[in-house]
Amino acid sequence: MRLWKLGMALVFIGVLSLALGQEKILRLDEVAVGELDPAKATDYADSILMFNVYDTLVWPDARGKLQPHLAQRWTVSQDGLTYTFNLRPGVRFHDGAEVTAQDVVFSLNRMVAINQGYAYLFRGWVKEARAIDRYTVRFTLSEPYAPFLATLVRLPIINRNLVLKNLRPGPFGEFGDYGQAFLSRADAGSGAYRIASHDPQALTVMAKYPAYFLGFAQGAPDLVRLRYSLEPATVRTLMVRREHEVTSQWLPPEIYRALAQQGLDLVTEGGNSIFFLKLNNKRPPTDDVHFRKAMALAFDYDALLDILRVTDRVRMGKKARGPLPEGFPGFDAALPLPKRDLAAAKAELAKSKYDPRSMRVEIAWVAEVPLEEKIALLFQQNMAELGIQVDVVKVPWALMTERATKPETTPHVTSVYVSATFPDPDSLLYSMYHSKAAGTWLSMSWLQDKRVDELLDLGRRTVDEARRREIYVQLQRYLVKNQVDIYGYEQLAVFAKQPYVSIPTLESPEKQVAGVMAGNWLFRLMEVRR
Amino acid sequence: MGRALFRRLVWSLGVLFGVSLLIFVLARVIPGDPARIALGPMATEEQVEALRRALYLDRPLPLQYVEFLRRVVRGDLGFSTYTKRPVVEDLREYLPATLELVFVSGFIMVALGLPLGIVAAHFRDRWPDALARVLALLGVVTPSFVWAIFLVLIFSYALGWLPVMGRLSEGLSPPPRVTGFLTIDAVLARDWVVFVDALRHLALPALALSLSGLGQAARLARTNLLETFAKPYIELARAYGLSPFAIALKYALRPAMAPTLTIMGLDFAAMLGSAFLVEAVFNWPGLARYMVQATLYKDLNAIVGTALVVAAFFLAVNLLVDLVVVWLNPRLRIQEREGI
Repeated sequence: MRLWKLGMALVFIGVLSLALGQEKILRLDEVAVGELDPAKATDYADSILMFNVYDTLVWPDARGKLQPHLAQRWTVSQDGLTYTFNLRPGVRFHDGAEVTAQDVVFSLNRMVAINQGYAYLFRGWVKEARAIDRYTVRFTLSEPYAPFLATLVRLPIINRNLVLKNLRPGPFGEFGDYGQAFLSRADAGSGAYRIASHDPQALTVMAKYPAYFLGFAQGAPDLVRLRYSLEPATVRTLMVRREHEVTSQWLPPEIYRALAQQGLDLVTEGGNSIFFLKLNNKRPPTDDVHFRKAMALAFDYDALLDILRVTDRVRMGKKARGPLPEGFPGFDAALPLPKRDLAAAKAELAKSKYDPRSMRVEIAWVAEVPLEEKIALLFQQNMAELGIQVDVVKVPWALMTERATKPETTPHVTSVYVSATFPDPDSLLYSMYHSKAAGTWLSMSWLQDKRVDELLDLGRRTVDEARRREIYVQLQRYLVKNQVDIYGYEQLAVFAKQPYVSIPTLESPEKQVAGVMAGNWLFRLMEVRR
Repeated sequence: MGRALFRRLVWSLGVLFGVSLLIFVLARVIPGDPARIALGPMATEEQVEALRRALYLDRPLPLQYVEFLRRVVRGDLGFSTYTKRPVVEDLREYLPATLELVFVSGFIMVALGLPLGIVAAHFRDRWPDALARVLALLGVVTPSFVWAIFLVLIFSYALGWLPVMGRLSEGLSPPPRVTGFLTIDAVLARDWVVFVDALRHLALPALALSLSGLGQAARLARTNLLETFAKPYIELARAYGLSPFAIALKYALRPAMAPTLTIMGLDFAAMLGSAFLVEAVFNWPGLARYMVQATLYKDLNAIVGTALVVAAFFLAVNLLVDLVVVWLNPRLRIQEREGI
């Protein structure tokens, strides 16, 4: 009896110590390569790393409104040229050093000097960044640029002294390589997680930084293993064996379907990206507004959503009202949802100066994105009902960007996804529709419209938020009314996850951060309850 | 022999030079702007131009090649636009992982392929021969990534015996790096837990990678043995009353192995380049995967760097195989000695 009791006590102690000592591990995957240097980060995996390892001065809330983060408050001068930020005192980098204004200045100068990643958001706009005192930093712009505040979500603050201690010879004079070699394998951040190990092709391991100034959710992971470029079959096996917690958004729909059937949860992320059928406004017949409207009215948006179906409840997209995703700053919820109306389409076509029987329309889809072929074929089928003959052309991405440089080589219709880089309407609209931005894959509409240029320029100069919103609402209505493009759908990225993992920002639509790529992947807010 | 070896080494250097020139030019004619791809779709033209200059892409092709050779001599292969690190550093990190995989695959190929061929030849036209031939044929005709997926589904998904991915289990720390081969480094550190774990991780990818070469080795060994057994000197040995075992070991195996080894050497060397799909399925952080990603990314320096490594490995393995074949075949030894 005594032995039995002793045995039970030992088992109890063992289980207790295991439970207390067990680390909460979160394993997820993304597409390689994981770029750790925040000055070079551009894509989804890089952004996940950046937002968990580093902090920014401001951060958007679920409505896209910028809130204090490392900066506790800021002021903007009347002329819109000077932005002054007061930093939150006591925030510490992973090595224990305090975050100061000098670090902010160094981070900006480093990004601009290296001139990769999101440097273009600051290069040319910021004339000077100056540390006024330990906790005050001032940016002076070369001309008024209202989106500046929003672009700061792409300026992670790095530990100046740590980087300076780890310089190697390089092309930046006294700054050598500006710490590029060091920051490609280590971190110099103040974020909720620090880098434990990093292989840009295979795996990044991040460990919780317990002294993080904003704290953690109760079940936040202690260790995060971000794996790169896993094969769908491998991910499926790992998920079923519970050796992986969250998949990437890049799996084929049938894998998500299979995982859902095996009891795993599917969650979606929207608010950042729109699928467009870009219409070339300079080439006949798509230079004619009636022809464009006829095509938009003949397109079957419901059939498109069927193509995007993963399960009965989950789709990879939803209808888009215009060029901005729902919830994105400046989004106009009053715009109508597009719908197919063949009679109205025929009426519009009758008003067009072009006879559809005498010309062919070319729709190009990006060769690397097979889903686009299905959409292009749907478009071809829909247009045939109007008597418009459509040629479906597969174009590799590299060639597409070349074709986009001239209106005469840009296809009549091109399928592309466009994502915002910072939470401001300027991020999407300027690069797509301003005359000065013509000649890139983003501006394949070749709009070159004076009214649109005026509104876009005014949006950049106007500091008052309410006035800016009016400007962008006006602009969206003008674009939709003139059917500059066909707004195919708002992209919803699908992820499969284990039921014991909670991702509040994805599970509750009202908590989703719009307008920041990977902005919903803050590990400190996630919970692993296993 | 020494003169022949020297000749082969000089010839190998010439081949490496030719490969570097060919790949250098080919990499630059693949469609797409490497600077644009590296910087992402949102980068400005000014950023792209700056990177082009940093990569010397603003210079004429011959000057770019001269600059490349100048750097190679200093042991600098430039920086990778894919990983944003020096290519030499990437090679140092990824090459040992693939070499370890390839060596274990090569070992499986020899250790299982040759005996299978010998058994088939011994039991010619009987059921062990038929079974061995079917197995060998399956190995040859089934691509290695299909094997990889089958093996994962059977041994990881259904049975749960072996790990699905990576080189080491979570929670285990790799041993101090000496060779970059986890198994060898674990032995050097006397860390037997890591050693066993590394072997368990190697089992499925190495088997998947070896099966094609294994089938080929078995088929060749069988065919060459049967051909040798039909030779008059074997008849003579039988007439002298030598035992079948002595005939096989002393008079048949050695000459039959020479052509088999030549082809096996080629198969083995080709594994370094063809390991990509196996590495992808098992998330193996190796060179083959890096090489393919670099090509898709149009990472010029990484493409040339990895091509040079693969070419050098191919040449080294071929040289080694030739030396072994010369050792196996006395007639070739005489030819080499007399410079015929």
